[in-house]
Amino acid sequence: MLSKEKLEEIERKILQDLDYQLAVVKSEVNFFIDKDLNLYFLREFIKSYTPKLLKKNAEVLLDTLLNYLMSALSEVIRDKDISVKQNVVQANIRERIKAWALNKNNAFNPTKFMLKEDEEILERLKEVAPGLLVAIGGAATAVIVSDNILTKLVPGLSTLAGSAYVIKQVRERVQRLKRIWKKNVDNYLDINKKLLHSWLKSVIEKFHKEISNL
Amino acid sequence: MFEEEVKQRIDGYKRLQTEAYFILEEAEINFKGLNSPFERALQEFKSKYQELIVNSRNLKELRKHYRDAEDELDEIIGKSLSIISGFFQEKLKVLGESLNKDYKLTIPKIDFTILEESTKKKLKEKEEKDALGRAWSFLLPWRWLKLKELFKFKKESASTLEKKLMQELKRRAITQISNVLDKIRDEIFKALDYYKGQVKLMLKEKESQIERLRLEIRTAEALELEILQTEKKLTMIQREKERLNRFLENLNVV
Repeated sequence: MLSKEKLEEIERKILQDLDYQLAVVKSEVNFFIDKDLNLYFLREFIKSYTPKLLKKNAEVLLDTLLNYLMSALSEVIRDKDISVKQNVVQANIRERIKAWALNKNNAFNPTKFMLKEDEEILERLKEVAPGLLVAIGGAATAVIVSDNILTKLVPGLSTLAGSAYVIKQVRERVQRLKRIWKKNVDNYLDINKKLLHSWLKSVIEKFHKEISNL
Repeated sequence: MFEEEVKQRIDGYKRLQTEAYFILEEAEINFKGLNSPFERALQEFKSKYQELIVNSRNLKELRKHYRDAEDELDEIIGKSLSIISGFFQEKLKVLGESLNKDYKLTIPKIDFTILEESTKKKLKEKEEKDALGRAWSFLLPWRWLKLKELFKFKKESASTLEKKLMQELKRRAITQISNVLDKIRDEIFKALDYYKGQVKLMLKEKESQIERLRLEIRTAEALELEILQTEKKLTMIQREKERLNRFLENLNVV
């Protein structure tokens, strides 16, 4: 019932929406990364929040795609005989396609989000002996607490390290860590974009198959 | 005459069923998905309050943003429900008028204002009772005293204490804003499903009315058949009577 061109047009539209949604997710997660928040909290938060956000967005995108498909179908059958319309009514396509797309065998499931670089750094910091805190300890403390506590650390660390050099090192280390996290987010979103795209495409194909049978 | 009227009503019902389906479809298109005003309002709300909360400099500011967020969320819920109600009311009114004109078919009125009010009430109760309420209510001042962190850091200076409390509150707020919005979205969709359910219920009622009419037709047809058969019998009796009369007359002549 829907032409190949129409289906391609819908696929292009939903891909644009997907790009937009992923840009929103990226900017939201990066917003938090840039903020002065406890790094341990931030790490755990990004790891759980990003996949959750993707899963929710996938549901919104599915509704959006079904809207495009159903609008196109309604347009096609608008002037058709009531018996054709009755066929579509009886088929209950939207509900059936949605149930199919969210079925555990077909549903989109985001991949597990790992912040590998962060794990390595934290692991190394754990191994540092208390006596060696002077060199890297500042970084360890700063990773545990937030950026704004750094200024509070100045007097204490200065006595230990004897210079502002440690503070500078800590700041750079945190900034470097945050840059790595942003790259992790980018890679993660790229991988999941491909998965989301093929999932949405499978929905279009299923829809096409279903309405062809009417 | 009666049959014609029933046939007209059956046609009307078919149209009602088809048109109602397209109204439900339009509702999905209008209220779900990226381009729906409700989804846009939720997204705007989220980015606005995430920014305000994370950038809050002190408890006073944080508390103010929370109060504003609560009010704004109530407004989004109220507005969305009233838009959904208005949509169904208007669409069914137009459809009802056209069906009445073309098929003399009346559709029962659904009071969406009452539905809207009861849904709002349910949402409010839900906010107060379950997770939705708990998510926000931790910001009530007396609840802050219960925070374990507060006791953990009690030996520290007031300003350090406030900073730690702020960190804790921001942390909770960040995770809970998104949870609250997901719950609100689910609840509004449930409300939409409930409204759709009412339309489907109305269709079912109409369907049973049509079924009754069909039954009446069948009864009328059966009656008609019985009448025809009786009439036929009467004619036969009449003929028999005439034949007997003629026979009697012949007998008299003889």
